[in-house]
Amino acid sequence: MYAKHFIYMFLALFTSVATWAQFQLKTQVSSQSIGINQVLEVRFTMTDDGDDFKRPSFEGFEVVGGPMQSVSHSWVNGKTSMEKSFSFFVQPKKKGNLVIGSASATFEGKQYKSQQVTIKVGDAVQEQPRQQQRRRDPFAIFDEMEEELLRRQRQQQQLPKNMGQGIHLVAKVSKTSAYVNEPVTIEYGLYVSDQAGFNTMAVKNMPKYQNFWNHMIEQKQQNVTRATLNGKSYRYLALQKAVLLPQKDGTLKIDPLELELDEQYYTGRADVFGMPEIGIRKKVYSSGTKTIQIKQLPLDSQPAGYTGAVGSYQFNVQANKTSVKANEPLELILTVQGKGNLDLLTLPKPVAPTALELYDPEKINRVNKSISAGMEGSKAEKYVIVPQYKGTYTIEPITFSYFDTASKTYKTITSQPITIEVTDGPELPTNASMNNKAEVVSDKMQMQPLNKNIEWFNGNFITQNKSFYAWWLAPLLLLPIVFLAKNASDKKAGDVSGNKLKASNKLAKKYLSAAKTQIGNKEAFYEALERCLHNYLKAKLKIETTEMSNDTITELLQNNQINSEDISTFISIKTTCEMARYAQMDIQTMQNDYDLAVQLINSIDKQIKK
Amino acid sequence: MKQLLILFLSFCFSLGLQAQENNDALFTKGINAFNEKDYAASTQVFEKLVKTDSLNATLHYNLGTAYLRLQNTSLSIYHLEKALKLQPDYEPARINLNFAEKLKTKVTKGNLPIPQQQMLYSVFNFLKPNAWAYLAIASMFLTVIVLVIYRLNSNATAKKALFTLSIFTLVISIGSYFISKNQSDYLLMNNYVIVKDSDVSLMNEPRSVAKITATLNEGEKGFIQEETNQWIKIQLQNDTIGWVDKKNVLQY
Repeated sequence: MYAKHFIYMFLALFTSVATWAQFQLKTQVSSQSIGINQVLEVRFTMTDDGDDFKRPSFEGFEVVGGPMQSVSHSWVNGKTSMEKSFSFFVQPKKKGNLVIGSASATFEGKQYKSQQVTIKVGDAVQEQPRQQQRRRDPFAIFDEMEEELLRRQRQQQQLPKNMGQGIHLVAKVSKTSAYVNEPVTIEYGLYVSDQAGFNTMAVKNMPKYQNFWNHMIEQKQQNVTRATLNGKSYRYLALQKAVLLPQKDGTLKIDPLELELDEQYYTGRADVFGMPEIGIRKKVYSSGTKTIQIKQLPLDSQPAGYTGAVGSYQFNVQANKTSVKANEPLELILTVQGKGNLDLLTLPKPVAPTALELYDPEKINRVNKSISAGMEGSKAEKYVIVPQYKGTYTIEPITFSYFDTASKTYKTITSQPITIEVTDGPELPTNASMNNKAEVVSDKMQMQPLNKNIEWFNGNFITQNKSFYAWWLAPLLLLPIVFLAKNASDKKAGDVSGNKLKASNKLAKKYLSAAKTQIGNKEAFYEALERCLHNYLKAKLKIETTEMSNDTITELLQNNQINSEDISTFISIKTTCEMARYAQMDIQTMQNDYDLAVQLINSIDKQIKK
Repeated sequence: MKQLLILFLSFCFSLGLQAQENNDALFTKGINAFNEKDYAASTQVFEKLVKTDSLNATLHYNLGTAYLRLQNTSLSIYHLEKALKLQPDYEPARINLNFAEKLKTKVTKGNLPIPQQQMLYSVFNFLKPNAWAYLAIASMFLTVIVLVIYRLNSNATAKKALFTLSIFTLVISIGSYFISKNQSDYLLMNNYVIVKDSDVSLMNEPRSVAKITATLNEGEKGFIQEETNQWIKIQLQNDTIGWVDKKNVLQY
């Protein structure tokens, strides 16, 4: 290396001698052939103090540093020579043979031009370890001191130009507006331009994803790729990828990711050997706060049994067998497949009759998370069903609802009912089989058909109607009317005989009791007894006192079919009474006659009633 | 008097006759839909008929059976139970009710209390409430006629017999009135509830913010103890007592 520099120096001396006193504008390049990622130093040197220097356009290159001007005077063997140079650091934009055009300068009124230089730009080459570039050169120690001074001055000028141009920290969000529970992906990436680089990276602030349910997408290896940002090519490193499920509506903020980088940058100058100089500085980069508008799911059209699924899904219910024996297990699988918030949704529960024993499901999740699709895959629940009794059972249709983000409506998928036939096994005991009557019924295991004979009833109970009471109780009103009318008509007819009969009957009884008290008192007794008999006949035979002769009495009694014994007894008692009123009788006969009269009255009463 | 009664009865009958022709056509339509296995259409038709003739055991039975085919737990149990309430000896309804009970997701054991009127109703069910009412009217007429004859007759023996007869017919009349009244009251009164939906909350108190005592399943039965405008206090088969919102249950 040292030797090389010596040779340069000698060469420089010789050329200066050879071109003595003649103004020259030369183009020097650090290398004729470079890689596309390398920086080329182009130095335009004039041998005297020329003016009005015009740089070439550097087509196909980008100027990353310069111009730097340097002037040197030298006295050699009493002769003064002067050199003035302009340096540029350029980077090729494309591969191939690129031409650096000529620069021009004016010296003593005459314009001079430099020659064109062709640079061959090849593939990117691995950069040399920077340490080597920064190695101190003992010969350049004074230069370096000078440069250090210059650099400090220039840093202030050049910082605004270079800063933040080479490295970008970007957060990319898949959607800026989403529904609650609709997956949104976010990717943080670092864009590093070819001119920039960094040594170490420290995370200053990690996003917390508040109000989001987040799933990190794991990266197996971090690959540096090339990517374009704003039309420029960068090296790209993806730092963090996540699938976010918003849990709240409104404007949600995602905190920025903040990184502190030990950033390398070109100071824009070259060291003494033409290598671009690299500085290191600490800088904090932020991805910036991202906001996402989260919309509430429409509530009014929300179907019943909606369990929070958002995305686009397919729903499927399957049984692995539909015909089994009792106690033979079968599997019922409910599957939801599609894109959306798969791990937040709940599957509907199947409803099975009690005769089918349903066990808790086994859950099978196959969910892939990716930046492109968010969350994708399937979620399934596997139920084991053990039928207990023989019969045909139906698992009712299962409904799964989700919010379709594409059409912005709720969609409902209803599965087909599944009929399971249990071919063999014990009969189903019913509630009613506990009592004897229903046991007879349960023998008839047929479902009964409809009744085809109808007796219309038309739903009115007549007892609820007031007219019922009218019909029911009105007849009773007739009774007093009829009774009163009958009484009135009876009175009109002048019911004399009836009244007389009643009176006579009363009198007969009265005199009989009077006779009883008068036993012993001969005259009073017989008088009472006679009156009693008279009145008795009046009541029973309806005769008047005037007609009261023995013959008429006998005849009437005979007409009433009274037997002759009683008739003769009656006549004899009557005669006794008449006789006793006028003749002497002893006390004994009085009691005897009374008893006889009572017997007689009873006997006649009975016979008349017949 | 007799003519008037006949006139009244025939009037009632002819009024019913006009409405019947329409309903007969509907009824046949419902049966046909059922036979063609279009149970949903069949239930629609019978629902319409049940609305016009809500106390007809046959209609409730047919509707309940159609719902049974549709695997509708609560409605099939409700209508079959109602048919059995209207006609306790309706054997096909009892059989189909057993099938309907199988649709329930949870089997409940235990018995509910039986209202007193039910016993009386099943004893005297050989005649319908209206037949008892007509009997009450008829025997009342007979009583009056007998009493009039009694009054007009003067023969003591005949009178005695007529009077006894009138007492007898009066007792029949009053008795059948009370039977008729009891039956119609029983049929119009709701004693039980059937839970209409699944996951219905049974509350501690008749308020929507009260503590939940139990969660009821579709088709579960309860005995009504008390009632407010919106709530019913029911006793479940396992003797749990609580309040349930009226709109979640069917009463019968």
